[in-house]
Amino acid sequence: MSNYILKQFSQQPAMIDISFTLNGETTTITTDPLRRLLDILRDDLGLTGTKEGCGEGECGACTVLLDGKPVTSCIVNAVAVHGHDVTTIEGVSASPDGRLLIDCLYEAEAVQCGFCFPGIVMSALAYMRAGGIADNERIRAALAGNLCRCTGYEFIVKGVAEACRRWRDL
Amino acid sequence: MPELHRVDARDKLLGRTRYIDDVNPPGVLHAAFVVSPAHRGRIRRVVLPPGFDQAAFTIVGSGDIPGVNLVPEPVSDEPFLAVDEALWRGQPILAVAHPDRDTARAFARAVQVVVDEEEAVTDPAIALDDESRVFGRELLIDHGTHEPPEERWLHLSRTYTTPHQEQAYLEPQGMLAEWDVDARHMRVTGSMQCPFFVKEAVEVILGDEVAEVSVCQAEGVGGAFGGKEDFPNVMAGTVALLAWRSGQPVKLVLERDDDLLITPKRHPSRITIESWTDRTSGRLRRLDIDYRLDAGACQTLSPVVLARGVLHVAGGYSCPAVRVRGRLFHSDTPPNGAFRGFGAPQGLFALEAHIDDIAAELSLDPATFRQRNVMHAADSFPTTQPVAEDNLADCLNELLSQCSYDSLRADIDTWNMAHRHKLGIGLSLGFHGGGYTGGGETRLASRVCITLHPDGAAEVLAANVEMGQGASTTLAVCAAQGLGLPLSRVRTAVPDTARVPNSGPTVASRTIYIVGNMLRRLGANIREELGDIDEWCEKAGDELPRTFEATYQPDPAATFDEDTYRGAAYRHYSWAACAAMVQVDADTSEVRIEKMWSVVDAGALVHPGIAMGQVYGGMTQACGWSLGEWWHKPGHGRLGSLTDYALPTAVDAPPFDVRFLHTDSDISKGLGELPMDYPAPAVRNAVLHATGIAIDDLPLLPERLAARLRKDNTSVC
Repeated sequence: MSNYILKQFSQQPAMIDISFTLNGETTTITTDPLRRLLDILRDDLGLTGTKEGCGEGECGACTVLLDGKPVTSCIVNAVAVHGHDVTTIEGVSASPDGRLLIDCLYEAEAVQCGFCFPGIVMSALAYMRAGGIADNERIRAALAGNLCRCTGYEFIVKGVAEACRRWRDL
Repeated sequence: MPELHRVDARDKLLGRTRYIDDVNPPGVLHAAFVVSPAHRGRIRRVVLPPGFDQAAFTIVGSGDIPGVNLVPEPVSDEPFLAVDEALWRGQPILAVAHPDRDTARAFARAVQVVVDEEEAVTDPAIALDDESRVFGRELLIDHGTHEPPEERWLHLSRTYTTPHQEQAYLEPQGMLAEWDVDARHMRVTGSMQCPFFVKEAVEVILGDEVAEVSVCQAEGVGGAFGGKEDFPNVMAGTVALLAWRSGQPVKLVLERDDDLLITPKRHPSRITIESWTDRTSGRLRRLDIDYRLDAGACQTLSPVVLARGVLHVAGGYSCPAVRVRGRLFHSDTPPNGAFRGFGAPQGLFALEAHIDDIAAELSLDPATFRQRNVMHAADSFPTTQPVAEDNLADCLNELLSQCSYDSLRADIDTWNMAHRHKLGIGLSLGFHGGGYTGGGETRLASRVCITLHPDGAAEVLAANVEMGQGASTTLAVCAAQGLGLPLSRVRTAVPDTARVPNSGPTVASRTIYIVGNMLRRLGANIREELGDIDEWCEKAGDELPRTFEATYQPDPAATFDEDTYRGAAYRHYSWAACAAMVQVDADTSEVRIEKMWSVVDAGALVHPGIAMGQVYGGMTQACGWSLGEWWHKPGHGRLGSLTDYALPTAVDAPPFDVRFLHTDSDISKGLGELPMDYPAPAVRNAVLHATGIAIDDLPLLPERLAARLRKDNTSVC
């Protein structure tokens, strides 16, 4: 739900302080408790790597990790992250498994327009961290919440499978 | 040579590429459209909502346009902003801008538009059945020999329909305009396929108020597929008008529901094919085709889609007498526009379905019937253009061995006797003419440049955008091949009309086929002129940077008569053959695509990985179109969200086995659109094999299949 709909219910929202861990760093902001996490990231904190594709939790372009689980940040409100841990695409290259995943997707020629990829990477990383193996059907299921219109998914699945394989071998 | 990867991939993977929604210059205003709530009618009044500080908004309507209120198109009949009449639900009437994005959107949605509603036709099935709705030029191809059909020939007549298809690029439409009042320079940046089209649109809407317009592709363009061919003209015209009026930068990014409501889609079609086939030889003797497209409320670029449609609808088959009549029909829906395939997928769906229907009547295997009729060199197209090569027949034969067709089909028939859920395999052939139709490329007269820089780097200057298809890499590869330099020394400039020559729009599978081949030749010419480029650069000193330019050279022998539709409609054709294996669920009638095979001839490949990605992606869009994508669902209105409009997910997309035909061609042929053109009828034909039910209307929804299974009193069980 977009903010302009929320505004009809609460023209002048009470602002509250929200504290959460963002890409490993403690972050505190003063915000409308119903503000979308997506807008907090993109507009308030300038982390524009997370994308808005549909605004209703369907396309997955805005996927971030909330306590390690993939969530669509366009339907997560500010209050829901208070005291929790958020990882965005900007935080991925800080971790070795994240760097490996990026490398494997790069080598698999998985990317086309790139708009869905910040979300795809987050879902794939969550899959790897849950002990995911290089199994095409399981990988496809793990990515079912992330729409990609360009690629037909084939090279994405290949890249994620390769990352799972190499991560296990490390 | 080390493996070359896409030059744009790493930044995109890390979320560092800046799409237009990520760009916010200081003082930027955010814009939103106020759109028509009615399908059709006179706009009586527009009431601005109370509860907003109206002085804080910039508001523009058609009366504020200093130039011409018509979007430049092949037929310029669509206003940027509605004047007195609302022509479709979702037509932009006003545009508003405000420093806060959410406030701008809330205000735009609260504006009350009062329309005296008139009766409207929005269902393509109704529009395409009403000959009083024909508008624009009728096209006719009719050059065959018309012997009267013989009694013993099989005569078959069937009608096939296809629905709207939404491009559904993951990044919604977005555009930014910045106005330099002193220089009277309008700078536009955004998500687009055709920077020079956008430049013209801004010049048209602002008229004498603007001295200079420059247009630049945003660093990231999040998918397009034709959907960002002409609508960015409306986006850019509108933000430029707001920027000119307010004196501030203005950005418009559509929300997804607006994008689905307002922007062009693939044309729905209704195609009737009447065929005569010699029962003895199994050869096509005559085709009479009535090709209809629902253009929507305005013609815009539909005549060009119609042209490509009639030139592809007879398929890759040899037939001595082909008559094709093509017409556009009016409906009260958004003007339909460009989408990968551009009229070819509709025609090939009908034709390839019909091929299986003929084969069934003749009790011939669909593969055998295709082998008997597929085009060979020395055959001719319906336009009388000679076919240059046997490549389509080669694709078909290679495909049949690739999927072990004969044994697979026999295994499926055996399996089906013992199982409730039925398997099926279906075939299709496809082809796509590269570049603009007829004399279009001659008129475009594309120019490209390569600049040699003092640091030894070569830079490609062209207007063709990177929209995901890999142009920023592949254009550089083409130039590098010609120059004999490693790819690391060649880069492609971001298309900016202030810097690059007009190499034409990023459409019509022409980026590599026209522009890439031009760059390869230009690079080779530079090398021939300069000798060793490194040595020359060392000596050149102050002469650098130096820019070399080339202009498109038409083939004087390839002429096309646009009045009679006789001659060479395209200089080169790309070819493909496809097989789809499906499973039909006995309980739900749901169709699942188990696997797809394809053999594709695109000539000399520039980058095999990128080429393969294009084929996978295009085929997946065709799978979506064949099974589930349905924008105008009768009785449900139009679908306004990606939740309702069902795109294929990673679970829905089948595994692919795609191979490229090996040829000795040194021409890189068009590839972008081809993989969307032909897979849908293979799915339909596979369902026919699985169930015995021939569905002539896309999408192949379970409810349609279930209804037919009940009606025919047969059961998959």
